Amino acid sequence: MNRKLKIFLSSYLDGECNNPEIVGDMLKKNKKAKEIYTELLLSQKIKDLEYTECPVAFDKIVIAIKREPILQLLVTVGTVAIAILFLLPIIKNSYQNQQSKIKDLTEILK
Amino acid sequence: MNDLIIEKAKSGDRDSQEIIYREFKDRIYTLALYYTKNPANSSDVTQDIFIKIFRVLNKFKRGSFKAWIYRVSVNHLLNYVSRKRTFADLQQKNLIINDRNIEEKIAIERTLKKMPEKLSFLLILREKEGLDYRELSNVFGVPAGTIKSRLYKARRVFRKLYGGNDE
Repeated sequence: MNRKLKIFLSSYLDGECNNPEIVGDMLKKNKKAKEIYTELLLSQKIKDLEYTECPVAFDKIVIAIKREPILQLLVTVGTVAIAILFLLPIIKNSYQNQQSKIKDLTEILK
Repeated sequence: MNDLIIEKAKSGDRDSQEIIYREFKDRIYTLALYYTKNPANSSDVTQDIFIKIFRVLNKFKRGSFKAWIYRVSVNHLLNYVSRKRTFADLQQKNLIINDRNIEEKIAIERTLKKMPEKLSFLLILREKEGLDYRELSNVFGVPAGTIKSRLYKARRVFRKLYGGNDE
């Protein structure tokens, strides 16, 4: 049996098949189709699994949501502070160089 | 899920957000249990998912709210799995299981854990959560035709692994 037909059977199982009568007929007449269909039905066992109760309280989520902007602000401030810490010596150095160049130029012009 | 509740939740109403939380918390937590190492990790992941859901709730315009919730959750879980690659201990009995058919249920859990994540998510959302092809198409961002063939593939892999024969 080709793959397309097997996919057809799988969608029939989901109730999403456009021609359920054709598949219904095929399942009655074709032994191989019925066998494949039965195998595909196995996945329906998943329905039997039960949910586990989530131990997380809603309040905990509310607190986390409230904290989030503060945390983001702290991270941003931290990033800016680190950037300034790295950039400050470079800026300072370039300013001092410029000042000394101006001084030299003034002396030459004199 | 009531549209009014969703709208109120969007505007930050805590009571409405709590209704959404109560509706989906166990489903998402159970889904997370399959792919995280232990219940503590699942709690953290579930918390992160809900923070994300409430943060981006404004982006939900219309369509299936359930599908939207699962899209956020599945994306988060897939990111988590790709970062951690720590699957739950197969011996661990994560779900509350009835005494009846206990072995079968453990076998189902094991099979789901052995499957590629995208396929097992797809199968769980279809079989357990009852999402239709259009909703699944929204969750995974692929056309309904692709969902159809992937579901067939997922069922085939499930059958083979459940029977103990790896693909």
